[in-house]
Amino acid sequence: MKIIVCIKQVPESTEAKLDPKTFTIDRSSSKGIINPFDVNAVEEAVRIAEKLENVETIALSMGPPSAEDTLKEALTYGLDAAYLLSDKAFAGADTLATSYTIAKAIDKIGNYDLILCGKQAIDGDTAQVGPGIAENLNLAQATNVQKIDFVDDKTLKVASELEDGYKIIEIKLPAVLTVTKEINIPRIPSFKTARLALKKVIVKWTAQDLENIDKSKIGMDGSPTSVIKVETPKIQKSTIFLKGTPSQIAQDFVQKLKERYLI
Amino acid sequence: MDFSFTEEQQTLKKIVREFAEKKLAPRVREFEEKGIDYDLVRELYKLGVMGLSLPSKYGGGDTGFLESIIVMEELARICPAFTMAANDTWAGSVVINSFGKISQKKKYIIPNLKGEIFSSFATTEAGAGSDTFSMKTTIIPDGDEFIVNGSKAWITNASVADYYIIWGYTDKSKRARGFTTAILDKGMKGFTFGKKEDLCGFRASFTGSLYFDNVRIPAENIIGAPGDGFLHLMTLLDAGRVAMAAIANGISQAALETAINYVKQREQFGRPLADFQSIRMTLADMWTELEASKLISYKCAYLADKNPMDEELIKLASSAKYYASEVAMKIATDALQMCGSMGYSKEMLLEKYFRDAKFMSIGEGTTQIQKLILASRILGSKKVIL
Repeated sequence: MKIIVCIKQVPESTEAKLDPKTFTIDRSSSKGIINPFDVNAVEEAVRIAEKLENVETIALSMGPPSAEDTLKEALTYGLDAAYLLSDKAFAGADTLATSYTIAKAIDKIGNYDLILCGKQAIDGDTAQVGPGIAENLNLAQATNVQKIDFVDDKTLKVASELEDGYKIIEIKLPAVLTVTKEINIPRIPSFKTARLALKKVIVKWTAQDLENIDKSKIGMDGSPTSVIKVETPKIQKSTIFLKGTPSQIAQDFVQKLKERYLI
Repeated sequence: MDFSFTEEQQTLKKIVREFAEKKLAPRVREFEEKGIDYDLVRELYKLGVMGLSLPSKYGGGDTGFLESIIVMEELARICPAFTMAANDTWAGSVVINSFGKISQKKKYIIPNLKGEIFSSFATTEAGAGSDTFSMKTTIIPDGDEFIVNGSKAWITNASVADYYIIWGYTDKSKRARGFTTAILDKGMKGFTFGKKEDLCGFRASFTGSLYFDNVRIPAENIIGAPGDGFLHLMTLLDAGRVAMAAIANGISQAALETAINYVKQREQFGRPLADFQSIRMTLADMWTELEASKLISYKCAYLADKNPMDEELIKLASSAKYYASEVAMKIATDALQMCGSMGYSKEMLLEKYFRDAKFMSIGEGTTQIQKLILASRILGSKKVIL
């Protein structure tokens, strides 16, 4: 079985600053970490490899050259190999272009059974790339997965979070799953595994290495969306005092909630 | 000169820091009341960060001494008592690896580095602290056994460890040449323990006394030959001093970080404490002294890996130990002062760092002894004059 885990390098959120011109995160302003949800995906891949036989686990990331550090960190958990997609042509990609590019890389790696992603990246918070990859590869998908069970070597039963519970989905491999924090508690990597991981060579691919890639679909050219503005909403408080009998006040209150589409 | 850590050392630092912050930090106060949780020490063995400088054929990491210092600094930044206890759980294996027989290495080091058994390291006695050679414990041959009588005091991991490396006289008339190193196993007849000591700092440590009442040990439990104990002890003391320096630096790091975070937020007279010149001057001193202390300990590791008998190492190890201890006390004091009543209360951990820091100038050779050793070497003599 081959599992590919898609990971992203994100800024450590307490330190990140926004570029005031482009409204993108100034990645030089803070150190990069593995997107926390992707750590859960990495951990799950390693656990599956520990439970089953003949499982190959691969980390894949698209990002600047510094993302290599994030891939090295992913390897310390016990993954077998890592690939970095890094090229100026990929820069400025929105989730559509990112999904396309990563799907192309997955295609090139080939013979995969399971693609795992964290449910969303903490910098963009869109949760779109995982489903985007599934669509590009024409694969079944389940999102917000908090539990994975193997029915047989080609079928999974997964618990997918809902707002007020979860649904159980049976899904045939190959498939894409995005996972939540509830799926596991990531281990602290052992130093022995980490030492072996640091000796591994990370395979680096540029746009040239991805066969049949449509350059109009990558990077900024392939991004129909762009960030125009990022702002913190201003919270305005005002207090309305309702008067009348308790019954009148209650009716008035309900009416106001309806006007604000709160009920 | 490359002063940076290698990628592997940086990774090690990150792993241990994550363990310390996730597993130790939430339980520091609990440890002070109940003692450390040795299951967490076993987790450290599973993480592969214990016994790093020992051979991989016994389960060690084949690394240099610097890796062990990195581990101790990071653990001590969160819990110094846990660090000292964890380090001592494999200190016995260091002795056996350096001077023991193959049979002893297989019997003790292999299970030790799997986290299955723990060691303790016992020299101090009630009447023999700085004056090591006034110890009264005897290890007397009797046929194919040795009989041990005496006691040890202030021993880390007392009653918890599975095997104990102790020193005693086989022939007191020979003084240093009559000193012997022996292994005692917990449960041997006549080998008992005192209560857990009630200390000012390092309260989480299971520190106590060992009592030997005609304990019979087989000859195979002697390390090296009778009379070799002085050489064993002198060779190992430097490593112990540098280990304590690393722990002291961890305490200093914690106190400094706490003070920095506090003075950035706390406001008086309309501005943060961090804006006041007196605070800034003190922070500059604290940072510089800690950095200097760390660098001395790192150089000790470098020298130890090149040649553990290096004369330069003997001087620098004493320097590392006493300087780190004094710096820890100074930084803890200054940090607590900056944080005022809040620092003095148990709401913050500064009062704990302050109590823990005081031990550093006492344990594993007092500051005074370290200075006398250093001074004698500076003056070209091996004889320590009191």
